[in-house]
Amino acid sequence: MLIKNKNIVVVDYGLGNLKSLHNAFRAIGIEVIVSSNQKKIDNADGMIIPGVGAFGVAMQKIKTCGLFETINHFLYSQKPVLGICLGMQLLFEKSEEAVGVSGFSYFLGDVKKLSVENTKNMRLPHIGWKKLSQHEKSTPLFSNSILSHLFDQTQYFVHSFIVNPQNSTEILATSQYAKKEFACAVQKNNVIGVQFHPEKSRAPGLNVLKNFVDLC
Amino acid sequence: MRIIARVDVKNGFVIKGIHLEGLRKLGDPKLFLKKYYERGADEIILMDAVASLYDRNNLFDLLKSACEEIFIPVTIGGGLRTLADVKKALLSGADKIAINTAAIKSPKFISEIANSYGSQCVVASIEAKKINSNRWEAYIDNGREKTGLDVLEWATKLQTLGAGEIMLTSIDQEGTKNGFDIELIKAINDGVTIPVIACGGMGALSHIDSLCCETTPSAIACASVLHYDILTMQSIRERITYVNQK
Repeated sequence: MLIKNKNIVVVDYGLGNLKSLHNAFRAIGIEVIVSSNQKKIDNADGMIIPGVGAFGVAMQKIKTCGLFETINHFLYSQKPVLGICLGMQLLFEKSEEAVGVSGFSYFLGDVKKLSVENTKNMRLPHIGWKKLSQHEKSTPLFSNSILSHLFDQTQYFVHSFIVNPQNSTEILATSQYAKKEFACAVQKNNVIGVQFHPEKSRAPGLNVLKNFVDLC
Repeated sequence: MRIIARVDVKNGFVIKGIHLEGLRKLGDPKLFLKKYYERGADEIILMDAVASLYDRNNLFDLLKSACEEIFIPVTIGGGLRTLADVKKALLSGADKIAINTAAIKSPKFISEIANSYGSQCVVASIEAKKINSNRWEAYIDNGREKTGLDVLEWATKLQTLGAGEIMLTSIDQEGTKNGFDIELIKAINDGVTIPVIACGGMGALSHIDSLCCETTPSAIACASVLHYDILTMQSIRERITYVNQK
């Protein structure tokens, strides 16, 4: 059954595959609005920033669509925001992927390439299901977050870059690739970012989205 | 190592051949896809077995309805040759696109998809047939047509063009359940730095041991062993975990 009273917008800035997100929300009873319309975004109860592809291209497209201010305004509105994959990376200051391009700088810190030391075992993109660990400094944050049920659960990752938050208390959870730990979820106030794809991560992933809707 | 359930479809039926030939009908694709999702596959690959021969892809409706209930990554391949086809596949719910024939005919197609949708969206599919020791030739149209291309050189080129993964099918081993072409997988896995999906020949748990002794691809794609209920997803996963710990 579809729940109509929650107004969740998935920002469509012309990049990536929004059908998967649409399907995943549908499965939890939410008909999301996929839109690039400023008014629809302003009026939403919660905002999803999706994204696959490259940092530079994404920021360029957001500006071309005239959505930079709209998204930025929403970030400071106290309403819940979820950035997924590249959609989380864009919330940081800058990325090694696109030197000279500024992100939203909501989180302090930058985006770095996963370092490849041994290409035999460590290939890029990093693709696969990985366990989440609670970050040591984020205990209360994690257990009160939309990810609290994910302790020791796996989620699906596909990425070559990772976020490097300046303020480690903003790290909700970490994961590992080739025995190297990286931040895979961050939260500051009303804004949450995840490197994995909850929309592609079975029931635990759908629960992340459901918990997000409950915040809205 | 990921476990990918590979489902090949022809005219609305799941089919399975040997060496990509002599196709046998096995049943309703949607039931197979749902079953593999429920049993714990890491991903699903859905291939239109004859599409590239006839210039079409009939799987969009199936993909659309399956993706409303399947929340793991889904790759679709077979007969996709334009950016419009790719867009239609993604709008139907696919996460990645497997390209073989169209890439051989126009290599820049790989770059075009990568530029529009990101490298993670592009699975370059290679059908490899052994010529002699440590040499393989790439085939198209589901193992029917030679291309004259050396598989290792082609794989390296596909990586440069922007492919995010390589799905490597051994025509010699495909459908035989006799084990992987380990030399082939090792040669390509060592030759590229993007993830490689090993496909063709998985028939017993011991095949995982012998593969992982030599090389560790990022994923294995399984068809016959799952379609004929020879192995369970669970037993394959346990074996991979066991081999990794050794």
